[in-house]
Amino acid sequence: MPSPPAKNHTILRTIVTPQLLLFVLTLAIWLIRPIPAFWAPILAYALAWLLLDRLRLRLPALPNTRAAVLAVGALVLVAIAPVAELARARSAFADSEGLVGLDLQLEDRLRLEKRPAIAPSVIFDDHPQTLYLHAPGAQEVSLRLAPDLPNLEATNLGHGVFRVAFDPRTDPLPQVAPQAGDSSVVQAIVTVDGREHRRPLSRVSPLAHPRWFASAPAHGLAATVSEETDELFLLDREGLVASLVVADGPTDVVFVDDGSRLVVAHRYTPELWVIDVASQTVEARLPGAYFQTRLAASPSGTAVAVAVADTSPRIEIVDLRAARQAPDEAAAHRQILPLDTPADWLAYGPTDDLLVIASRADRALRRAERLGTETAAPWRVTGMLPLGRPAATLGRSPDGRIVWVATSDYRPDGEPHRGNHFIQDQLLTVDVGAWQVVDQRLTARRTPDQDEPGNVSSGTSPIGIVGRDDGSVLVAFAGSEEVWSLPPGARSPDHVVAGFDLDLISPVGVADLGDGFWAASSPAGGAVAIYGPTMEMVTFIGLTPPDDDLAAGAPRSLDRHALSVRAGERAFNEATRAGISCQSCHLHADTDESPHDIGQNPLLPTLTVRGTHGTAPYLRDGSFPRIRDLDSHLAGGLYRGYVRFLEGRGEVLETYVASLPRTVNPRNFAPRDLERERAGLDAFVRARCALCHVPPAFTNLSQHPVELLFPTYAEGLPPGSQVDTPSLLASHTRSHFLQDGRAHDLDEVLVEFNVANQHGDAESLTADERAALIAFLLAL
Amino acid sequence: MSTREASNSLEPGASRTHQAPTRLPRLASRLCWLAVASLVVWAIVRAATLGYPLERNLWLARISGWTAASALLLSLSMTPLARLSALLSSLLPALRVAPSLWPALRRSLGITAASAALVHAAWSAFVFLDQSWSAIIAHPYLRAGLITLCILTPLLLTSFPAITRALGVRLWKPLHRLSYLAAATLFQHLMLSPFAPRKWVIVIFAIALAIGLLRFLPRRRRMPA
Repeated sequence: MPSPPAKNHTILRTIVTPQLLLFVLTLAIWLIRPIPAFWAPILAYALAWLLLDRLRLRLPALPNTRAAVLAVGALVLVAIAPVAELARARSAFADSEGLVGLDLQLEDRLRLEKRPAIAPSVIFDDHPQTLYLHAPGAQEVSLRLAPDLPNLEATNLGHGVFRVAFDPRTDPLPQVAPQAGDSSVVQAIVTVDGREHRRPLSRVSPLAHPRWFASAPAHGLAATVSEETDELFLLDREGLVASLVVADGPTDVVFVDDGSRLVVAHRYTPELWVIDVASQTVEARLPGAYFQTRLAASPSGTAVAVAVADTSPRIEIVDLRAARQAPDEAAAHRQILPLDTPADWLAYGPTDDLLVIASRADRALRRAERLGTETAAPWRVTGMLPLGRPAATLGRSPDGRIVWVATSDYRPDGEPHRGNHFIQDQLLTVDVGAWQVVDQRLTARRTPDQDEPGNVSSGTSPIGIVGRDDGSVLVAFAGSEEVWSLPPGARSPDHVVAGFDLDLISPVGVADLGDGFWAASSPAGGAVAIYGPTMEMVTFIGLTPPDDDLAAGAPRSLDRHALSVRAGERAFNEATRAGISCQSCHLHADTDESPHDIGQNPLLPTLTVRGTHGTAPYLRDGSFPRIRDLDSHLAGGLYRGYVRFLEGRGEVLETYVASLPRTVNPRNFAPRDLERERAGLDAFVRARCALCHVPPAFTNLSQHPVELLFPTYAEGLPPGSQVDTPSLLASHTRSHFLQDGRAHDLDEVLVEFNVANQHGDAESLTADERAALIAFLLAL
Repeated sequence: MSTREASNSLEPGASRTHQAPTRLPRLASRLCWLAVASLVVWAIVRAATLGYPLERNLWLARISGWTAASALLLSLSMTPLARLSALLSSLLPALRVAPSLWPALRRSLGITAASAALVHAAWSAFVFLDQSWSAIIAHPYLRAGLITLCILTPLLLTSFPAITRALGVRLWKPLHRLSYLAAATLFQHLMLSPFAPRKWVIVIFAIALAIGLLRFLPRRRRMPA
């Protein structure tokens, strides 16, 4: 019968096996050159195996327990250092092996692979949307957003792809208290040929976002709209006068008729509303176009210019008096100025016959004039000023002779700047009559708050401008959270309302209320505030629940989500120590349409940040699995971080970006040619686009070696370059296509830049089929 | 991938003796090759119907890859299934399966896995990726596939006793334990590859893992002769 020591000895002999020796030797060899990639330890194992095998190793018999304990102890000692190094290098291993954020990517991908699949994976309470469903082989599909809600019918596009239109104005949403747990998730029910499938969708219920103002300083009035909540807010020098519900998606407001009336433009309701200021009632609803995006009131107050950004970008100049008298003939009282690119900003010059138009797409200002004195005389573009970067906003002097432009760079030749991550916030003064830039004021400045060499902490991201009667200018800076008062002709402010004095996070709009009073808005904070002549705050008007109220909501509630979105929106606008914020390039939470040197060659146009919910990983090469990693790499590293500490900055930023909807397609509001769309989808399938651009998200979230798809393009790229498969939803918003934006339209994508026919079998399509395919893609 | 149920012995021939030279190994081998041959015929016929070269090349790369992956996971499942089979047969003798079937199947499936992996790699590298060697090294999913192949190839070579003897391999079992690592890098290859359906990858590996846990079933005691 074995004695106890002998038993221990046997156990130890069992432990000290050749396999253990091999493992320890592997670790020791790997430690000589601890490369954090899987091939390195595997190679070390192979070397260790070769060594032991060639040595024809025979483990010596361990004479006693002591020897066995010593052997085990020696092996443990040898293994400690490599194991510690392995543990230390685990994140480097994950990084080199493409495993960082795999869980998030997997979650998004599994959701899209689960049939029936639905995309986008988020619904919004505030605007009409289109959802796509993929149920291969299905004949009838419908969608319900809750068990007790009616079905939303789906249109069968063929090949198992269905489209559902959803408009929260007409289609009910689940009724839940915003503070209730799980209220930010909708358990949608997809019925496929009579069989029900539950699919969770994130729900975003935006709070009020007051942005830019219209002001009537002579009457001490200002007004602003919230597109997200369909509200109009009227202010005077003492506070909020009225809050009115308007039509769907109000985008801008102006005072007309000497401040006695307001005109409101809408994105999703084809009407201009005329509102009487005194009675606060809707006086007229003038028929107009969908996608009215900006307004400008003529100096005489008798006409308004309306920027329309549907499939035919244009300016409509509406003769208000005539249109109000005969609303049914409103179309007869408007003149059309066709544009090549949609207008972002409008301002009248000194007369009713001159308009200044800023466009983001071509990063330029245009001057348009009425050719003749007649009201019905045609308008023409008569001048163009390239800027190099788009106008973040326009401000007009009270007499209309001057227009101020806020921008992140100025290149009179219109060519992109080749500086690396180049942002130089500035105000340009444009003499409208002479049609030239007469002054250029750089705004980003160093201050005593500077805590490292070269940091800037003031004057970053100018985003709201208003000229006052005394010649001074008020400028709101979203990046540095300030409002400057610039005296006439001065290059520096005589007064800065900054940080905590402002009490408004990320100010965007400023308005002149006359007699030295002014107002500022905070879309992120859902508030406006009124300031007196000595720049002190008179009234703070919260248009949305305060942070504390939102924080009281249950986890996963709409309230808590809104709080994260608020913090994230502020973080998005906030400038880093380098003076650069997310919104410097992703202007207005979208894109500045400008080519930038972000460390690659050639320059790359900024991608939109809209519609990224559930589409990990990010960037053109899918190199960032999470937005927070991008923030940490770019903002925290390259841009030297933020002055303000914010716990969980990356997470809230991620929540905010995920809450941004894709731009609504104007084609959704026009009659659809279903047969043509089906033909387009047929061509899509036949050209094998669906191998990677898999419905319903029209991406399978995969990454590919560039040389596989674009062999010619890959020749100029570093080895190992990869391309992320972008979603084709909202393709209509893109002015550049493919990884480096080299294609300017979808036909170039399919033909000119698909010479090898590897990026879809476009060669198998006839010209008509290709046209149908492009029409289908633009309608997504 | 291992060719025998070996003990901890390091001698190449030591464990071979208990593998009875029955007809079962030959049957297992033939079954495997028949399955592969059928698959090859079907893959070629199907590929011929695909007009778009990229899709055709992709199809052939995928079918060869999935063959290799399935064979590897099945091969790794044989020992646990043998353990289960032994347990079941001790409870219900009617369920008894000849014990030599399992190692025979394991060997055949292992050889199939490595062979299919070689075909998959050659097709992918030379045809589908058009010899983009830098891409193979740079992209984690391709690199993971390459590592898997680099593991399976020596295991394939040392699956033939003649070669093993010629090479004088002594640490045979520690070498063939690399097949578990090959399964891990295969999982990485599939999880990161652009076209692999993630759901099925997870389901298949979960099943394989669950079967693998049967390895911890108690061994059936051998009755004294």
